[in-house]
Amino acid sequence: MKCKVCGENFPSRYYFKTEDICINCFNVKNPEIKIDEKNTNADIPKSRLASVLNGILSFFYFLIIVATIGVTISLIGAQIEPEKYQLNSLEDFQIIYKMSLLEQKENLISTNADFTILGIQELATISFTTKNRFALLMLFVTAYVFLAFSFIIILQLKKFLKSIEIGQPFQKENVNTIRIVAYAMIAEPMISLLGISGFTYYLYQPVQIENTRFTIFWMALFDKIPDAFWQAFYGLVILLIAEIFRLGTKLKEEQALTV
Amino acid sequence: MSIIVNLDVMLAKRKMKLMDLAEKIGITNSNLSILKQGKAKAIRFSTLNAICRELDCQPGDILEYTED
Repeated sequence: MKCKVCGENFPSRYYFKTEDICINCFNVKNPEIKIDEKNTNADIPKSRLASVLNGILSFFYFLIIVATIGVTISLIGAQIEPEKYQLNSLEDFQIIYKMSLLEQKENLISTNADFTILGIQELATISFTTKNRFALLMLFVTAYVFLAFSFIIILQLKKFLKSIEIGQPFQKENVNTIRIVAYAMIAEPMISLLGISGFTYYLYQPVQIENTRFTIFWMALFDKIPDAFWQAFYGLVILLIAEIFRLGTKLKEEQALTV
Repeated sequence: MSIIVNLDVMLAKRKMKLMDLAEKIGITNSNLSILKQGKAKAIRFSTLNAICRELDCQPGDILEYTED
């Protein structure tokens, strides 16, 4: 085996520091060797894509922190000036409901049920009570739950991507990291769905759609369920990937201990 | 079931150091040390072949099977 720096022939790999540089040349610390050291010292290839993804995750991490601060400021504002954060009058409700009516009309899919949505004028005759503060609190709790789980997921992914960057993805710690991400993705939509349901229930429950048994609450819930289901499903897929990594780690360990 | 590696015994018999054997068979000192300490999960035939050639012995002199 020949050293590429000094050109000397050696009987075996034992005399080499890297694949093609002998120990003597490596220790001399020739500037050319130092440059090569950066490239060849990492016998393991580094992942540029992982570095890019890490950068993107850092940006999302920053967004999460900003969002958390914003939600906290809103919560404090709701306590200090509650009148600005409540739906005190039917007029406020009509404005919000009118907007949601327009959205629903655009997305309306024809069904066998024959129903019409109550007109804005008729809403004035419906009396309702809203537990605004409790509903708003449920909304804030849901927001915090979402931000907390997002924070956990991003931190774990950053840790995982760092190991990929250095070319060592198959580690025991990474198996747990991926599992945590999977559990967070499964748990978050369930908890958020409860929170959103509570909020929607307290604000919209009394408002019924003519000729149906449905209330706006149920329509809002059915709208959210598919998203929650798919997010939980992706979490299960990630759990499967964690299992693959566990097997990969075991194989790598066996390979490392093969003489 | 366990396989005991008697590499240190053979090295002592042949009056050879671990480093010297590693140099002759062309694997790193740390890898051979893993084998000597019994931490290895597997050994390649090529490595076993080289060890037996250098130590002038049989595989049975290096590897021993015992019941737990």
